Amino acid sequence: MKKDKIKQLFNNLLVVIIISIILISILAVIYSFTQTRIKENDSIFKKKAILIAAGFSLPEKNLQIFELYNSSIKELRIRESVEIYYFENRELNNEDILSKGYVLIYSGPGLWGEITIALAIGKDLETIAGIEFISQNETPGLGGRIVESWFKNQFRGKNIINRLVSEKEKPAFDEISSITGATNTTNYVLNLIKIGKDYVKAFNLEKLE
Amino acid sequence: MAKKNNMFKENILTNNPILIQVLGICSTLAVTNSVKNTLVMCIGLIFTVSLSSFSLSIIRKIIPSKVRMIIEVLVISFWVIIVDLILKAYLPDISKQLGPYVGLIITNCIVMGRTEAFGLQNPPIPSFLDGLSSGLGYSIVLIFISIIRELLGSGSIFGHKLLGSNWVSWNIMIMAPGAFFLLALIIWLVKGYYIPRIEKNR
Repeated sequence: MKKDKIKQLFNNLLVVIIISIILISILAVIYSFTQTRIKENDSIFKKKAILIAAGFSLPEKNLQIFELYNSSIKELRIRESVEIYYFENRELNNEDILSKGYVLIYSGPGLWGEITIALAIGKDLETIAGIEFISQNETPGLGGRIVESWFKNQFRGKNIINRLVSEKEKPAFDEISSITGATNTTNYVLNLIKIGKDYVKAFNLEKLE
Repeated sequence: MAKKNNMFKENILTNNPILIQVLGICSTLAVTNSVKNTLVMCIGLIFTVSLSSFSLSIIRKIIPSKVRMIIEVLVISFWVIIVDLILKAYLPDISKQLGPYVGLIITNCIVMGRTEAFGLQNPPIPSFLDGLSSGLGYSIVLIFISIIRELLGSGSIFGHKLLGSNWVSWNIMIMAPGAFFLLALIIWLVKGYYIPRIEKNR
């Protein structure tokens, strides 16, 4: 009687183990096939974010994006909690403040979780060239709308931000249109930009080059 | 053939997994605020539930009944990881938007429920069809809810603005409670009106 029970237990375990091994080995094969593509997607995603933040208009093909990235972005400090890149936009006039500058990638608090942002600052180290979100967990449809381009684009060329106005109003030079129903998230984004500007001061960017 | 037709009718209409069995509610609340996300979620679920049922049905005779749940979870998570990997590799934008919800297909009660109730007792092809039709029944309800939620909540469908600029979005529709109210209304309508009529006909 007891022997039977042990035998059954052993049998059950064996089935579970064999099935796990089969499934895991199939998954390992599929993983190794898709891994290169996934890594490529991640890296192109980040490169795109840096270029968009810096105000470049993106070409369509991935290859052209890589070319644009290699020719106009210099990696100054990567694989750290605050990453710093230098950009040079040759499409713009040399005297334009936003023709050269820095892109910082860092994380800070959002309403629900961390927001990772790419913030581009012009060569005067004050004017915002643009922002782009790398990851965020804000409420989809409300705070999540920070990824919409009208919201991001209004930061370009702004220097100081004093006030929030409602979504339907046109913001003046020192104002930002806040997202209806997501004022908190908008404030977190403004706070993130403030954090970024503090990093700009702390890092002494010109010395990094 | 008649049996198959019956199965589809049952899983989509008279025994709909969401409306009648009230399974898979959490994803109904979570992903239905935009039609695009919902569509991908539905395809992911149809894929997972039909293939899980199919593969479990193939090995149903060698699974000892005491460990069948462990093996069900193993097989289901196997298919979900495959869906996740494929989305990450070929549809990175959508994968980013769906975020953790793809992984949560594992915990969707419909998958476990259908494999447990049908897949383990029936041959592979009917199990596959049962999974497929349950997934379709789930999808139809979800897409219906998501169309209403996106239209009222953002004034758009698939991200295209349909209602004019004067439209004031209903923020409640974007948040999970909006789906709760909507789903409750639909269940009320179906259970109160549609089902009694079917019963009468029988």
